[in-house]
Amino acid sequence: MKTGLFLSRARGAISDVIDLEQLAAGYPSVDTVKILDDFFRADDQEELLAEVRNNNLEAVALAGNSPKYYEHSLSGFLLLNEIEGCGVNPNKIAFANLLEQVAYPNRNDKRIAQVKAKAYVDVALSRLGLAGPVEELESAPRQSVLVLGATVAGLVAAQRLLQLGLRVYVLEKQSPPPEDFIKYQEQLAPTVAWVERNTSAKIIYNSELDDIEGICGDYTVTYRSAEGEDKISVGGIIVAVSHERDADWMAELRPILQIDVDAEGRYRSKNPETLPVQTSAAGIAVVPPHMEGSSMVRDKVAGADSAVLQVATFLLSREVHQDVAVSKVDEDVCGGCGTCVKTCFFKACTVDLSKHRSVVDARRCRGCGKCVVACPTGAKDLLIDPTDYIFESIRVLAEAPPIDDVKVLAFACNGCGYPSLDAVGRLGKDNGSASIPAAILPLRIRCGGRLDSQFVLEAFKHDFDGVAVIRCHEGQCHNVIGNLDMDRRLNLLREVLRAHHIDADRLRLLDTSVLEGARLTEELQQLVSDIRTLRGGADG
Amino acid sequence: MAKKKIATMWLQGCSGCHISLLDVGEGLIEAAGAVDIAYTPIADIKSVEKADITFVEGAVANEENEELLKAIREKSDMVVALGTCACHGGIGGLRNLLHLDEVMTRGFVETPSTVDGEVPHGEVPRLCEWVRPLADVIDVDYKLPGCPPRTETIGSVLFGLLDGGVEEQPTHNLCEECERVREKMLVAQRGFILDSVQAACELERIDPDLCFLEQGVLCMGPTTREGCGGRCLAGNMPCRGCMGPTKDAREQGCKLIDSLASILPAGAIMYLEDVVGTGYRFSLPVSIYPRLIDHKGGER
Repeated sequence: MKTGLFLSRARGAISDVIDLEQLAAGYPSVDTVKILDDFFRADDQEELLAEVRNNNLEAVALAGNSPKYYEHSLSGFLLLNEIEGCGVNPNKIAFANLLEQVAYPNRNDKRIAQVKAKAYVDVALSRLGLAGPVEELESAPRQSVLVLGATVAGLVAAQRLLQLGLRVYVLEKQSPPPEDFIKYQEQLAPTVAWVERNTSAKIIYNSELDDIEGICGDYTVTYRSAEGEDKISVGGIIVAVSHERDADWMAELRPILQIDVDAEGRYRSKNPETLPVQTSAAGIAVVPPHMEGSSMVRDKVAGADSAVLQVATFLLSREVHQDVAVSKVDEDVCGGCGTCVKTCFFKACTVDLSKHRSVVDARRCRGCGKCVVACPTGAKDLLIDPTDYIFESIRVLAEAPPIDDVKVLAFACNGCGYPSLDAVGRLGKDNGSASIPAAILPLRIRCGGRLDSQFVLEAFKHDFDGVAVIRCHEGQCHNVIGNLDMDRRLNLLREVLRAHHIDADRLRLLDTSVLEGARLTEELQQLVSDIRTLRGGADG
Repeated sequence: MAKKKIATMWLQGCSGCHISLLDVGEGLIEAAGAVDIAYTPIADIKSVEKADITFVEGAVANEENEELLKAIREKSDMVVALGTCACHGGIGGLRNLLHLDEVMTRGFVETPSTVDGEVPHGEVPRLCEWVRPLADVIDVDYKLPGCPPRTETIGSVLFGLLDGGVEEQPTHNLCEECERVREKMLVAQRGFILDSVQAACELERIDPDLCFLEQGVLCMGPTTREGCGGRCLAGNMPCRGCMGPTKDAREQGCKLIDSLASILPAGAIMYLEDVVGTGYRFSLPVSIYPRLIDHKGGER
């Protein structure tokens, strides 16, 4: 497998701290190793893509910005799309976080930075070796949209969509007329009349949304109304519910739509700063709550327009592709016990009764990994976070040269844990003192629910002094119940730790969110200090 | 052509695997026509001679076990690990959760019926600090787990090896062989299937046809390899995990924890007497932590 390792100087932010030439020299067997000034400069991007194409690379490691930067910045994901366009499978792109988690926190200690940089690049390369390709599902996108909430924003969105030639279903929980009709009667009346008369639109009141399954461009929606249960097929979904009036409905919808929420329970897009309407589901857009909730009609309208643009962009293209981040099943080992069926929150696991084997529904699987961990045989694996890769990473991180008197493996969930570590790292850039303690070695996992008890034991076995899990606050888990499952498993695991005379206090859970960088910094420092005290005593 | 020589030996074991072998019954008369027996403790011959295939039951737990095993490896073309103790360490491996001095004190001094007990210092083989499966000491050619392995399986493995090739063992978990019905487990709705956990003997009536997990009884079947025919389940008792883990799992104990946390109330499971003993009953010596390890400063 032809592999490329690209290292970014980040215009000096990385190269001032890490000797990239020395780092690059440590990989003589990697097919292509290249140092670039900045992954997000036009010239450097051209060079990177040319290397991928000319060398027919099948796997690419990007050592520079945090992987979350590509997800959360306005257009970072476009670079990944272009790399994939050169023939690299999306699951064959790996990241080494040299900027936020190495260079920024270790500006004052280059020795630590150099050791960590090498370890994180090693982890990225091992991921490329151990992760297989993911498949794509294709759809010719359906030319219809479901709008949730007959609010000002919802109806404006409906009107825009209709004008673009799309069919629209508006689902509303309340009875007619909804509050907004009365409150904004003057501005809204013409829109309501136009939509109600439009033969391509249907407004359904007193309705309950029961289920959504599918992929971007092809969703099947089940709902109940006064007329009974019904199923419709749509290409995209716009969420225009009002937090003020419909907090209960939002709470009911959240697990079905899998939209993230903030501390107050308001819907939150993928990144409120840069991606105001996108959610992690490519086909579902949300009217930003601060705009929907504004008393000014212009904000509601602008929010609706933004959501419509997001959805229309892919609906009006000929074809839509969605990567399938699913779990897979080793049919030689699966005996059809059904544990995965009871574990999955999204009803993505069933047992094929003719073969007695677990089957994954790619249209429902969110790639959270809970079923993979719950599988009592180990027959399941998560394509985007393979078990072998995690075990190998534990070993790689454990064998890094010592940089502190203790070492702590910090599993960090992709939702809040890992981005929070990035936030801690960035604090180091501003205030110069070590923000992420040297003793902390992070390992990104898909979700708290992906934390297998076996990983924790393996970490202790590899002589980690402590194991930390940095994860979302309760109620904010992106996969809704990932943290709940983790808690249950760890409560039982502590019995095993005690039986082995491993102090259960060496296993720590830290709940955080990306806005709490300063608090997490303190907690990490306290954690390392606690672990140091525990390990200084007798009897590990 | 000379008949093949087979041999057997037992180390730290209960001799149950040998009894399973003897359960071949009249088949032994046929077998006697096909093979010569080099040595076996059943016939009270206990010196190690050359053999084509040697079946070794039991784990390595004292110095004599270790010496015998190494001699067997030297003088045998093939060594078969017979039974769970030989393959995975077995129940006796649970003593790896204690240091040897604690084991001796518990056994000779602290047992309830002992008066003025004393740890003996006689002329007996010294116990090893830790119980180990055969593969930790020698190269093993074939592993046949089970507590004990089925008589038919022992027979087919023996004759398969003699013929130059034996079928691969089955690799699914025990749910593959279990004939019990699963209903609630297969409904795609997340949630605990029951709100309490009980031992089988605590049930008013043990339903012989329904999955044990659906009766609220902890069954190790999902975390355990098939191959035993599901005899315990057919006998109306839950699986205890004697065939060891499947090939895709690193160990049984953690897999028990990971899986049960989803389907049975974890709070109830915590009040079970012995989560560790339940999950690691047969396979502790081949788990991620095969024994107590003191990190700083090596083993105690």
